[in-house]
Amino acid sequence: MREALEKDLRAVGADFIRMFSSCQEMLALSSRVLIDAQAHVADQVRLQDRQVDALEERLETECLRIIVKHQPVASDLRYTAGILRSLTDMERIGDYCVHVAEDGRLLAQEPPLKKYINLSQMIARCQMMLEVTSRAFTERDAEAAGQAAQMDADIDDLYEQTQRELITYMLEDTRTITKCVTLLRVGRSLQRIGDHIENVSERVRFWVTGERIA
Amino acid sequence: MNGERPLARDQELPGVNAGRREAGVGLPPLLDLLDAAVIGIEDGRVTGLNSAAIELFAVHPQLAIGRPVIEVLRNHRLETLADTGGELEMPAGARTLVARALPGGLTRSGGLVITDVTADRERDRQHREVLATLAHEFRTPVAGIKSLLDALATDPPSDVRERFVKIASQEAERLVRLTEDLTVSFQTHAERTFPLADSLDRSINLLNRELAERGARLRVSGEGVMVRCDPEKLVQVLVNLLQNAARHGPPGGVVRLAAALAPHEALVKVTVTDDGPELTDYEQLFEPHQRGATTSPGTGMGLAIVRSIVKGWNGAAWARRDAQANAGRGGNEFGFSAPSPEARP
Repeated sequence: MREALEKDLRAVGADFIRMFSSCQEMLALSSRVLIDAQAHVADQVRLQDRQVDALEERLETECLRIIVKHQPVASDLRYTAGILRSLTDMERIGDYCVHVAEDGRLLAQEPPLKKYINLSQMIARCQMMLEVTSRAFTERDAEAAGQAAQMDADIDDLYEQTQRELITYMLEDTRTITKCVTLLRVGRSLQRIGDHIENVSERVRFWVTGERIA
Repeated sequence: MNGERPLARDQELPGVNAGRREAGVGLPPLLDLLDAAVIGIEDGRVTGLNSAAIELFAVHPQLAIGRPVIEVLRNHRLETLADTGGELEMPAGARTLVARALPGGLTRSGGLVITDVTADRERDRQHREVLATLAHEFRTPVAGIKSLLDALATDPPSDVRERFVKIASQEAERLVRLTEDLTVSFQTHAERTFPLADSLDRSINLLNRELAERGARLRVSGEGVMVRCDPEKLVQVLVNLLQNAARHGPPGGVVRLAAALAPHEALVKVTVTDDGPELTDYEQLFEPHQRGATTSPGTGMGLAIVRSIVKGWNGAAWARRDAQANAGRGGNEFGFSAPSPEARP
């Protein structure tokens, strides 16, 4: 019985890591669309999003099946429920990557307003958060999960800076409003990606320690 | 999942333990000498990792053995590659990896060889950017000179000819300046220890006329401090900063150059401050082609070159508003750090 449960838990864990990996790839591809103006790459992001959606569906079914069949308790229950609850977050991360890529495709049609330094940094922080959270999950590292969650504050700060900067641009030259609004939307998408990764990393920590964050 | 995998709380975050390599496990020790990461795989599970693989994937070596490939490498592309074989270049987080599968696949004994090519790709990107910049910078004066030569070939009246020759000469001067920038950027490293005053005197000699024309007054302090770097490159940095201060500060203004040793950091910090009005975005000025709100001559590459040179000797270049400068009226500070001889081992 225990062996069967172990096997099922390991299988959903593997799919969950694949979901992480897909989201990481989507974010890297979105960055190419936005930062390097490679508009054609947006289609790859959309394609990859379908795989993330399919994984979400499969994992949801599997997690529910494990709960019904094995009735896990303690750490195993936290693990299964944590994955189940994180699926929506991961699926939303995929969706926001698509939004960034689509907005990047729009922006790539015209000369850039400026070099996207803050947005690049936001993407880099999100990538780091995903990488560290994924590693925290596979290595059962509560400390790494906590550090990943803390990185979200940097992303929020960068988003605020971006907002202030873009508002200044719009006030100074109304012709930039369309581009600025698109860039604000990109910033918002990245900020939301950070929030969703933070949710996942907090669940990883809860799974490992069994303690809720105050 | 209880108990099967012990916690690995003592591990550091990826990147934090860079430089401290752990010995590989499950593979011949000789493979630890490779920069490429090597992962042994059998029946879909990891059988060995060399030192570079442990570092690249930030995994605990003993705990990684026997685990499924996806749990150790955390990448679905690498998992697929190990199964299907072949080679691929892929982004992994902020890195770019080139991975090659060794024969065997997931079901038999095989493996992956992974090279982190992030630095190579970044260098390629920078080279492309440099080439694009150069093409852009050279195109305008070259096209101008060609048009002027075409016009001169039609034997125009002498006053027109003189004007054309003068303009062509100015464009050629611009090319010379660009070439000089390039020469300094690509010169071989010639590091030595010398007083900052050596390079400063040469810089001031080069700029004397321009400083006089703008009525700029130069005030220097701390020039006796010793530095250790390439004196030619230091001249280029000082010329660019002093020239900017003279050009963009108010006519007849004061340009202050201050140098001081930061002993705890084994660095010499040099600042050039002008009396100009506050700027909107100081950091952006270091980007190529950023010239700020100015009509003064220039390619917009001056500060980008400064940062590039300073980074070459592991220093920093910055710009900020100094509210205390100019007797409390404020000024724009452009600074950089250079190695002090005390930094030598």
